[in-house]
Amino acid sequence: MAAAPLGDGAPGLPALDALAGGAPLLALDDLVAGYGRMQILHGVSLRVAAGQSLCLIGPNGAGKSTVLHSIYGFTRITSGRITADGADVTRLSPNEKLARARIAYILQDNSVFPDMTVEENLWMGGFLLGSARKAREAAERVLAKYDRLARRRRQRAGVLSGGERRLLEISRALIMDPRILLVDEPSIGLEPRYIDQVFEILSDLQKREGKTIVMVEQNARKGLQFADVGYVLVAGRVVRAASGRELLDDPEVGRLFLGG
Amino acid sequence: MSALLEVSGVRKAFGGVVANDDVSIEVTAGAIVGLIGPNGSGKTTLFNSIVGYHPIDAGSIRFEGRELSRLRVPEIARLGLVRTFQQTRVYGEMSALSNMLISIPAARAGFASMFAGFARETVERAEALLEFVGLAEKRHLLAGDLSFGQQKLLELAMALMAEPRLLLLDEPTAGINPTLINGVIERLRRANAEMGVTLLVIEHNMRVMMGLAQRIYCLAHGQLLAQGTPAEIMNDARVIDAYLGAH
Amino acid sequence: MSPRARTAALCGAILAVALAAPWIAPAIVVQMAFLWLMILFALTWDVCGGQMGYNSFGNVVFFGIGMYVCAVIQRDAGLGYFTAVFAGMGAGAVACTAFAALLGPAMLGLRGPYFAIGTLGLGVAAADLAAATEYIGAGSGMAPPVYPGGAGSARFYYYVLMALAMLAWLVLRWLYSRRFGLAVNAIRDDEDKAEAMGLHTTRYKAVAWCVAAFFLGLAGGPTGNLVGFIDPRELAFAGPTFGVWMVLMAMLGGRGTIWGPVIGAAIFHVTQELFWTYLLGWQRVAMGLLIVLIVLFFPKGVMGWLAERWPRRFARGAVR
Repeated sequence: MAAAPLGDGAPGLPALDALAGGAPLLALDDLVAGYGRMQILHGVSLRVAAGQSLCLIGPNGAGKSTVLHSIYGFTRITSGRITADGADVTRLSPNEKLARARIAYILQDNSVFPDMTVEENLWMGGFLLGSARKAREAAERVLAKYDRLARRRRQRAGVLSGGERRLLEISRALIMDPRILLVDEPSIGLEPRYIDQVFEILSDLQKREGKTIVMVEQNARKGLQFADVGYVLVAGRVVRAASGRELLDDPEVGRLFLGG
Repeated sequence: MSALLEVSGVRKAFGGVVANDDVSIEVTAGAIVGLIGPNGSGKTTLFNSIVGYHPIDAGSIRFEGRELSRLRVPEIARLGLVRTFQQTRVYGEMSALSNMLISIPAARAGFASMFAGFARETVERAEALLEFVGLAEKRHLLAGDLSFGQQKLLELAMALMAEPRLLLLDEPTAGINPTLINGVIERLRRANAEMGVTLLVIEHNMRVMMGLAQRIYCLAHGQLLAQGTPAEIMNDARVIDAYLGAH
Repeated sequence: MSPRARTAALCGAILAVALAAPWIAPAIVVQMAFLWLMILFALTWDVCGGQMGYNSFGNVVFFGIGMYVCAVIQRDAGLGYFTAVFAGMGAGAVACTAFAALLGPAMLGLRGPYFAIGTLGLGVAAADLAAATEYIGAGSGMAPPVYPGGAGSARFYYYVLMALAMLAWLVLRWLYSRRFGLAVNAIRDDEDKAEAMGLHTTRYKAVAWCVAAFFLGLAGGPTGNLVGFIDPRELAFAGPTFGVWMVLMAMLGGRGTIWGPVIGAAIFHVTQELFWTYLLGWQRVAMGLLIVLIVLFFPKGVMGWLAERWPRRFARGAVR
């Protein structure tokens, strides 16, 4: 049986637009991208509104992280477009994405600088601000918000607990005051008690500070519980898109993971 | 049908993390067997143990009755167990044909064979296999100049040139355009049906896997979760749960 | 003319000129003899370096061993002059091949930069060891016996080195057309893949190094006799000069090709001699600049440039 093209049943652009309330802040159009010579995404479109959260789920190898990497500028984009707030940002470098397009990328696990203190990690987050004073001011802002980090500000990042490390990773990205947060597997490697904490932090950032969140979650259930919108990615294509609630309640979603 | 590959009770830990815990799978001669599992399930570790990248902590891996777990990578390959790479590895600065010629089975190679030339039959066989994967016209091009999809086909042809008894495929359709996937799958099926090559496949593309494999093993959290035909696996609630991330 | 006939004609022409050279330009016989040595250096380096991807900075070890073994045989074996020279050369080649076979598996188990530095250390160690060993003259070096024929010495050793360089070229050309050639190229392109395909990589690596060692071991003796004095650091184990030049010559001419090292050695050596003659006092500066230029702008060398301009004629890869 040949591998049938996944055009059947896949959501069209109007459906994706509707999910984003008709006014997307971040939009991907028919993105074809990959690493080096490998092509991972075979035409991915995406819409997310300001202040909305979107979770990409799907089996491993589907290209979920590749979508985030592509938005941020880490991949080789063969064709397609990425627009943020109306501006075409497809070819911007990661630095430019952070500094100009106000898109921040939070890496998967273990991306703090372990031998630097919490403070220093935060200052590094402000590297692109151009002056150490501005970076320090921004760091103070963030530390004022997260008391848990402030208490540990002079400790080496390497000795933080899993949950605190993840908080530091997120906070560091907040230094540049981004509008859009790309969160790659927030719950990975975390003990269950910290997972809920992380999602609370993200929820606060979305609901209270109006940040837009695009995340990848291996744990589909957790991701769909959190996010407003869910996209199911299979073999480099979006096969299903609906509200998080809808996908969570739909027993067919699991079968999509297994090629059904 | 006899078991070509018997993995029994394999355990492998890295530091404190148990990547494979009491895993047993069986590949019968002539079959196409698939290995699936979400991230962190241990299927890559199992694959690497089989091909000899690292020793195992417990259990056994027998190929045609022979214990593999203490052999090194080249020795295992010479026994007839050939693997392909997910990122596709070919010899970039050599022609496609040269890539094929250097892939002849090394098992029968004595010291003097280092200085041997290439017999007419060898070259013909290489060209026939290049024809089989559709690269006959590109045989004098440098392998590094081929497109990614073409390199994947070349890698497959090279693996077949080595006359494998068991071919281990690490994500054979990863990174290629969907229009090329059918070509790869078709060749794999024909290699199995016409050339009698047994296949053990890791694949993330489930549609491909379900259409290709006759028997599938699903790992999760380092353990064997389920096994069966594609239909059985697709409808197995435990497998679906594992992929959705039930804790 | 077919490619084979073309190559044959070219080789024939080179042979004719090479044979006549000492009679045409007797004033520079020594320099021309050194040209053949340089060609041999570049060719033998390229077996492991350009063809196999193992960049050795210590091949000069074999050259020095060959030189000393030959000198000791000439001094102590009580043979006639020419018998001693050839026996010494043979013994040197055997000693070097044995040494390479012994050390090979361990040394060649190192990859990339580690192999480079490991071999570099080998060269340095050999130089210091020789400079401290009284039996072979220690820091004062050795003087081989005088050539029985006065001025004919340079001419004799010119022909010996010429013959060695040509022999090396022919042997390597043959080796590269065999399974050996494809195997070492495969190791260069992707050693892990080669192992995963069951190739006896250790065997091939060891043989490659032994082949280089063999020819370098043969060439040591004649060179020592040509110069007339064996200095452990300046001639026998001259790492910072010969050891580095072999890499540059192969790179300049085009690594991994059979003509590249020859072309590179010729250009390099002639340029060097010209610098010495016309830029005396500044020749080292000029050499240094040349080296930097080669590494920065010409990493693919002459053959590489030719392959890009005329891919049909010069491109690598096709089975010859």
